[in-house]
Amino acid sequence: MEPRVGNREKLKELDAFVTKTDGEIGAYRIFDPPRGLEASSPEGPLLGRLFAVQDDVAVRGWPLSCGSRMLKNFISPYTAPVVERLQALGAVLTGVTVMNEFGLAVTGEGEPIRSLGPAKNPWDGETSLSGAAAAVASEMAQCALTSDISGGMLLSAAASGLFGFRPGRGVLSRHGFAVARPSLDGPGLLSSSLSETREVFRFIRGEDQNPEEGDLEKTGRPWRLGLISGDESLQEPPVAEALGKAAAGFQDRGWELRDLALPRGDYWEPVYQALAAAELSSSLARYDGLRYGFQGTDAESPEKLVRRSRREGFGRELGLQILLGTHILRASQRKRYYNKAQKLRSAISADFAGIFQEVDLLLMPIFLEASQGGRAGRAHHLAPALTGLPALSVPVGQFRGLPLGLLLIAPSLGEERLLKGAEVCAEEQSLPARSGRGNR
Amino acid sequence: MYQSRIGLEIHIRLNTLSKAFCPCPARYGDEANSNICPICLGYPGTLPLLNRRALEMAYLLARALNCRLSPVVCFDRKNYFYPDMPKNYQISQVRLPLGRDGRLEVEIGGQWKGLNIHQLHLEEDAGKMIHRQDATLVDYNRAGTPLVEIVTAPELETGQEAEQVLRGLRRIVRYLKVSDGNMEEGSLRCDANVSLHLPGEGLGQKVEIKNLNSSRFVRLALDHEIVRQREILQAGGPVAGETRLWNEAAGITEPMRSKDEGTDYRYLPESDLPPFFLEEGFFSVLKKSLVELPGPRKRRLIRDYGLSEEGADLLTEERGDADFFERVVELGADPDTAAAWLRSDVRRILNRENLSLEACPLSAERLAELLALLGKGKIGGRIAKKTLEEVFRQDRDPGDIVRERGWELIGDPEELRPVVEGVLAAHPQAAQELREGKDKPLEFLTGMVIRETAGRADPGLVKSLLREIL
Repeated sequence: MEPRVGNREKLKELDAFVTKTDGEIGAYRIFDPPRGLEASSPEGPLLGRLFAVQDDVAVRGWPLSCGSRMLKNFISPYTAPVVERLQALGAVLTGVTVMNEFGLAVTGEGEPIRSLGPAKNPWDGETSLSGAAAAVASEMAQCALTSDISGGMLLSAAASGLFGFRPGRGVLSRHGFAVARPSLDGPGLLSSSLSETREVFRFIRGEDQNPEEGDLEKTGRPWRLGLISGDESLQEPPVAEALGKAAAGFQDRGWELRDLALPRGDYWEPVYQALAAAELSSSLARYDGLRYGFQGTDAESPEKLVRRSRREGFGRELGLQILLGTHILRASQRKRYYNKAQKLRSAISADFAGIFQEVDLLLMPIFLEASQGGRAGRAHHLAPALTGLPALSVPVGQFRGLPLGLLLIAPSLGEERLLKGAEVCAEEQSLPARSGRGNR
Repeated sequence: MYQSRIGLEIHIRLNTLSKAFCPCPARYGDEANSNICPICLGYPGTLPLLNRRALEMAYLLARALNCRLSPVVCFDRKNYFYPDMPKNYQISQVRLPLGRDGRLEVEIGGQWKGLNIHQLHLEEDAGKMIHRQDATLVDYNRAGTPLVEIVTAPELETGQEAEQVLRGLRRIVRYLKVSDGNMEEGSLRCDANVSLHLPGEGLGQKVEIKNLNSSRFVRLALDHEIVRQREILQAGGPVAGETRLWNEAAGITEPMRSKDEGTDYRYLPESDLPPFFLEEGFFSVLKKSLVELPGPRKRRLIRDYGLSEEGADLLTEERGDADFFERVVELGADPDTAAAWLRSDVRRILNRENLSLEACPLSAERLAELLALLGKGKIGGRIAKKTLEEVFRQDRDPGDIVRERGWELIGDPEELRPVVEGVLAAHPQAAQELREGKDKPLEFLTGMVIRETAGRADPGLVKSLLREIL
């Protein structure tokens, strides 16, 4: 696919390609690049760059449903600043990609709902994937602006051979990202190329007030990589191999390696679940059918109207999560669940801060099963959500036809460092040429 | 026998230009739902933006009430469902209110009493619901406007004390220019908690009273409620812990029928507004913004200028009035005279013309000039009043007006002599009585001379002339 699309001919080609491809992938909820073109600046360093947004990113005049019936017919009246910036630099919005309802991928019992998303992974045409990752992996967009919910974006990236970049908390404006778990979910960027990830990020981040990269170079000491291999017994051979190769690559470049244990790894998932449920029970309260969104029918009182709107507008599992979150926050229960989860979260963050005194970058596996939507191993993909630290999922090869990914984590404001580390990983592994449906 | 304890929960609407968490105008009286945006309406993906001015005003008030100020600004969500709350949670401060352990000085029956303030915090207001027969309408103009909530210790004892607290607080917020403080307009709202106990026992069961729309109703409602609780207790019954509404028409409190009792707000931190660390500069600017508060100012006016209790009270009702007064005295006027003029003649004209002292033709300089003319005997009392009217009407200096109209007092005996002689000639009987030593005709004849000279005759001079001639 041509990287720069500036004229109607190219858009027609893209249209034909997507029409053919998306029938099987199902990535887009709405695909309309000519319309996206209207809002883009006719010039700029990202001129003609094609980007999609996930269904929970606000673009004025475009639908915003977060995958929920509650917002099925909702059209956003405003645009997220990050999207505005992309458009001002000449990038063109191709469309809106499908997602699970508010990112909910797994039930309380551990059953995947639609594991990673409602679209199909172009690598096997079968396993599920988020629409954003499916669109980029099958070359129906060059990159996608999305949100990382419960580590889902990082997992999707790993499952589809993409770079999944989650900048640290606060680095990109979260205004316009309709996330339901505000202290845990955050904006993310998906792309099939590291250079593109770097370029797009630098433009949307804006001027970096305190570029930190110089520091390490100045100290003159070798960079240190922390390796978290996780529980040996849970190692999946292909993952262990990828990890070993990547580690060797770092070593070859003069990095020092340190083996580290995962800090309080057993607690990551329950802490995340508890806090996520609590936060969404509050953030989703605004959806009551009174001002916008799905409205229940035939209600005789405002209270009944709200009840009906919410009962019919939300999916069953989301409703259960709301109840769980409500329960956790109750005055009589909060000490037992919410307060404990918060304390543990602080401890986990402190653990990471301690680790980053010892190392400059962290590398850990993304477990295969997790990356295909199951539950296995440690929930490494939850680290950025819990700590707010910047993270990057790096594609490092394949196993039985499906891509593998590794996760890099940097200290706060260490996005440049992440990108540097990803270079090492990416070079080391034999990445097939971008192999979405388009190239097969 | 029974002792009462009253605590107040007061909400003050801040005078900011925009709302607490979005740039919408915080204006009142506009057409319904005209000051709204995706943020204050809780649209998906929107984030609140803290209004710095609201924060400054809240801290200013907290400092004026002698609170310990928090250097970290933290917000929490108070969750509950209601149609006037767009997000179905209110952004408020629960864990760390910006001000704590303060003290409010109030004057009650001539004595200054201190009332402890538990806490003061910043939060957003809800929208307004308007009930009609067939439907309930919601106006979101008010949703998201900044409020300061003040919670006092339960140390007050009577309705009158509560009323005085509200009056005092109103003065303070107006002095600081952070709010209009008008209960009737809703810029100051008050709920009260009241309980009764026997001496030696702890606090009794408290009852919350709502729907108090003026400080007078606060007094009446609390007095009524105290009586109601006392009767229950004396009859041996327990007082129910409930929320009651003040019924203006019936003059009683009634239980609230709603199911909002014992709501669990399921507080959690507002993650959309991370903790904000105030810089040192913030507090030094705050210190500079503090003004002399009504209480201390009143006491100082009494002490430094010898004003009466009532006089000082009237002058310190509004900061602008007190400033005006002190400026006039600074320019040489006698304090008592200045105070008297301000509260009578000046106030009368202001009320009649619906003007404020800050924005009227009478400046402190002009009043000082007028009083100087009067004080030096250049003009008489009645002329002075006329001149005041003319200052308002023509927007000119009193000196110019007096000169132009020729209103100076006639101080030259030779100029007056013919007039006096004429008056004596015209009123022989009175003249005769005066000759015989009676006093009564003196006033009458003086008045006649003054009338003949259109108020310009110096009464003292007239009297001495009369005596001299006779």
